[in-house]
Amino acid sequence: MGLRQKVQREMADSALPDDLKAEFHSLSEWAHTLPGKFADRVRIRLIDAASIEGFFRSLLHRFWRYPAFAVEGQRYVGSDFVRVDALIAQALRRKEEDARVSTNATTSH
Amino acid sequence: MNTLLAVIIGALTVYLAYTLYARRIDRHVIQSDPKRATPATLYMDGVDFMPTNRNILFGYHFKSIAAAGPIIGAIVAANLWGWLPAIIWLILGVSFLGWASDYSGIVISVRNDGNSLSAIAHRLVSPRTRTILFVFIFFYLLLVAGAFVGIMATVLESQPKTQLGVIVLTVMGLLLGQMLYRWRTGLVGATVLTVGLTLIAILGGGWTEEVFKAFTAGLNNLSGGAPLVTYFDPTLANFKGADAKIMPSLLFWALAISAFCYAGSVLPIWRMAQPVIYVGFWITALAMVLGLTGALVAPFMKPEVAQFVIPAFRGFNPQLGPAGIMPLWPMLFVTIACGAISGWHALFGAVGTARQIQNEADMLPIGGGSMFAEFLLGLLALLAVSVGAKGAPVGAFATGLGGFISVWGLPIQYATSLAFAAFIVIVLVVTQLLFRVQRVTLSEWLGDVFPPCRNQHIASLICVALAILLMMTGTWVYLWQLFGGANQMMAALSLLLVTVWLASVGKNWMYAGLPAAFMWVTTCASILVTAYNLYSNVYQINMAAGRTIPVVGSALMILVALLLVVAALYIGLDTWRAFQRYRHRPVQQRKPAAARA
Repeated sequence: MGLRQKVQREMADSALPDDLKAEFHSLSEWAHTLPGKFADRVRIRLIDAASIEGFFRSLLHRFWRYPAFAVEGQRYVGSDFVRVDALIAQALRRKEEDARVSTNATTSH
Repeated sequence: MNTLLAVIIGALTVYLAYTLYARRIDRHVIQSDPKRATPATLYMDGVDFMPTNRNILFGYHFKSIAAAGPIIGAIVAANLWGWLPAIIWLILGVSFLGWASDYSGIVISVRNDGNSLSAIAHRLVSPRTRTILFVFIFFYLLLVAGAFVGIMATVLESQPKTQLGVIVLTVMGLLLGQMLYRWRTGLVGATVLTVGLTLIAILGGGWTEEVFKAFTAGLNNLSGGAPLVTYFDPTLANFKGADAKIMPSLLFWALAISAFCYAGSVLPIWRMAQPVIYVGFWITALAMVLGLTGALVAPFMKPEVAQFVIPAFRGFNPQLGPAGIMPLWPMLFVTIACGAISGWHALFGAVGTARQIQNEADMLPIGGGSMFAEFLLGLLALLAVSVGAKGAPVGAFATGLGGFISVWGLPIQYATSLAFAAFIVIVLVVTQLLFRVQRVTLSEWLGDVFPPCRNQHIASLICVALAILLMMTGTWVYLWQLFGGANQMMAALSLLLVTVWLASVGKNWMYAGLPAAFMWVTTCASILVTAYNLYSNVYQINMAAGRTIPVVGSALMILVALLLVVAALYIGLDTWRAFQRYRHRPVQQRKPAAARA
């Protein structure tokens, strides 16, 4: 292993306390299941809460606890990923319905 | 000359150099191709290789390259040669060398499977080049650490108003880590509390000034008012040189900073380093945004803080001590490093940013764009010192920046406190990370032959002790120039490597080759001049006075200087041979993989 990797590995290892590290791993595992569930219809962005971007996103979405999820304007705070899956499915259904309505409107016009 | 005119010149420089030169090289020489797969997309593992959005990656890259370099270099150069040579070098440097070095560091890695510079040197040049680069990097880090600890200790000791702010910053950093990662408090509230309290402590530094003055006097009474070390400092008495004293109070602040960095180096990142950086970011951003916008409007709103008051030109070879030489060439070109060109940027770009580039079209905006942003930071520092004038270099910078901030209505004493704090915070957060990297480098380098080095505490203590020993020599301007020389040499070496690579793939190598040759010759010469100055101005004078620590320290610095030159000569020779080899017989370029849809 090169020097750079050593430094990076060491910093990554001590980046979070053990309980948060475990939480982060389960979050990553869940994120990896998304392509299987929703194919390429979903784009996910993971943002470090303790960062400048995290600050502005927290302010924007009024998140005071983490992990927190924003799915097309819908908010959820907690670690129950089944509920996040449901939010995503709901958002996709809404989009499909909107697209159908828009197509029908164009056809009748 | 006033600040508005300088800012307009700076903005024009960025626009012309980027659109007329950098883009041309990107299109016609490198031929960046948005459809070509990058290592980030080919080898994505979520840790090392990770395609990242252009805007986010720009912020990440800029945060990693912006440190004290552009600020201190501009301050020292303006005081030695005047503001005109400093601004000319900043403009020419960034236009023809700086962006090319930063951009090319990313390009060479992206086009070589995301490999680091040393790995590419191993493949294209020779195996020993990689080993030499490794040693070079350790001494480079040592010089930076010594220079930064020395500068911060001097500022803290001489400016009691700043001490409360630094102490509160440390406490708030630790508190923020506890709040975010243990108590799981929301970020917004935690930010308001910790950044707010730190800001109050910085602005209210005057409240505890008398307490800290008494504390300093008490510390100095421990030795009965006698100095711990006396040394000859050629930077004093208007650069004629005079005896300087290291009092217990200076050593105390150096040890306090070292303890801070030691903790930052061995504690988990979440406990200290990350939260301190986060709190520090807000303080620095506030000072920089208020300062830069203040400099822009100052000629209209507060003209007395907008006029340059230092001489435009002080001479080609200003006096530095009784026997020192400080010729404009080569010394200006290493004194101002990061705002014009910097090896650290190329080093970091090649090993960090390159593995996150998701599209080849992002290489120029991120690599070149960050360098132009860093140039603006250097320009702001130059403006601040050019209008600040009075006092020691850092003091002049804080006075100048404070003047710009005061344009927005903040009383000047508070604005100056904020400027001092911004400077200290920028240096402090970088130094704590630097000790961590240096500690790992030391354990990698000597861990096999001296196993105790593998222990993180022992390795950290060795790094801290070496930095303090260097600081105790007192001659920080030489330490800074030696660091500048090493940093610029790193830039020259990365450009040399890029030149060899361009020749190996049959591309026009001139845009990298000419700057590489200039910087290589300039930095070799500057390191030798610095070694000579150390010998004639510090070693000999202190030897004659029988002062052991400055003699040992300056001898160590001379040794480091000579090692750097020898390393540079070896690398230069090896790359020249490789260049000749490839120039006449380029190797076949691999067919690029198409980017994923």
